[in-house]
Amino acid sequence: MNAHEIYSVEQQDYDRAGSASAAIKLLLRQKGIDKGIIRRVAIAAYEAEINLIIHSEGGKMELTIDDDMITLEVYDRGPGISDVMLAQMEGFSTACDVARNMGFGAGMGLPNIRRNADDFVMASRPSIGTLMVMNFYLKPQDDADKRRMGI
Amino acid sequence: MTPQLQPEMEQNQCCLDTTQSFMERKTLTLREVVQVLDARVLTGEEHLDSVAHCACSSDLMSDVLAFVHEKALLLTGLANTQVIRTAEMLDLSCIIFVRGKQPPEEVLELARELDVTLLAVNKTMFVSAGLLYQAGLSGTPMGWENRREVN
Repeated sequence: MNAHEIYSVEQQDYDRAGSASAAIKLLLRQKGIDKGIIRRVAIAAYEAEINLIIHSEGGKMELTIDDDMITLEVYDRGPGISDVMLAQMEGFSTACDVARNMGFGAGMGLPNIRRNADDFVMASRPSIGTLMVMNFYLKPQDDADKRRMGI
Repeated sequence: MTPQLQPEMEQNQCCLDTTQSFMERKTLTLREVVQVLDARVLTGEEHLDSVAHCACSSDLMSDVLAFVHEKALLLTGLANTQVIRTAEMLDLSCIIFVRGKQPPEEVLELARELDVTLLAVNKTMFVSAGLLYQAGLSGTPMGWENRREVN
């Protein structure tokens, strides 16, 4: 069941956009993860991958599957986000025309990620880079809540 | 009835009507969809007996990722590989390209690989969606509660 995989995503690599998320989805399916959870991870991973391609100078997606949850860590080499709160607002976007022509840049990416993940944290520093961590619980939310509280 | 209660009553009434009309809507097979829209089948001829439960139309893939359920048809004027990747993430089985768009060969190839049925229609998105609605197909249910229903 347990697994750990790292996927590299390159800046402006529009041709391969979605291939890392497709690989993640396939791996989760092979592991027999619940279909609804796979769908949420796939949507969040795909949005994160598109973000790396459009906005970052390249980065990585690190997937960890353990008994209780799936964790997806997405980090890049820059350029960082100056206002993380603003970036998470629905409708806010700094995407270029190429991204818009692909059907993205509507300012829905980060809200979509936050909505699909059970936990979502994001930190960024201009000129350093951005880190996002998402957790998807494999067991009922109540158990997860208990565990987080150390019960 | 006191004036204060009225807004709540109206809201409930509205919810009830939506549910009823949603129940009355029917499913369509892809073969029926082809007939209704006078569509060309680009890929997935063998899946024409599969069933569509609802539909959505958008050129913004992020909106599709935010709102759409599986078993939905996607009508779009965007004809690139990102549309197919979006369908893959959401488990959508059929995409209808409107406004006479002919997707490039790489799009068709990816669709064949992922078993996605592609149709093409020489009608605007508005008219295509209208014809499907008239044939009894409903829109994808929207709203936060529906978006989390995938859990």
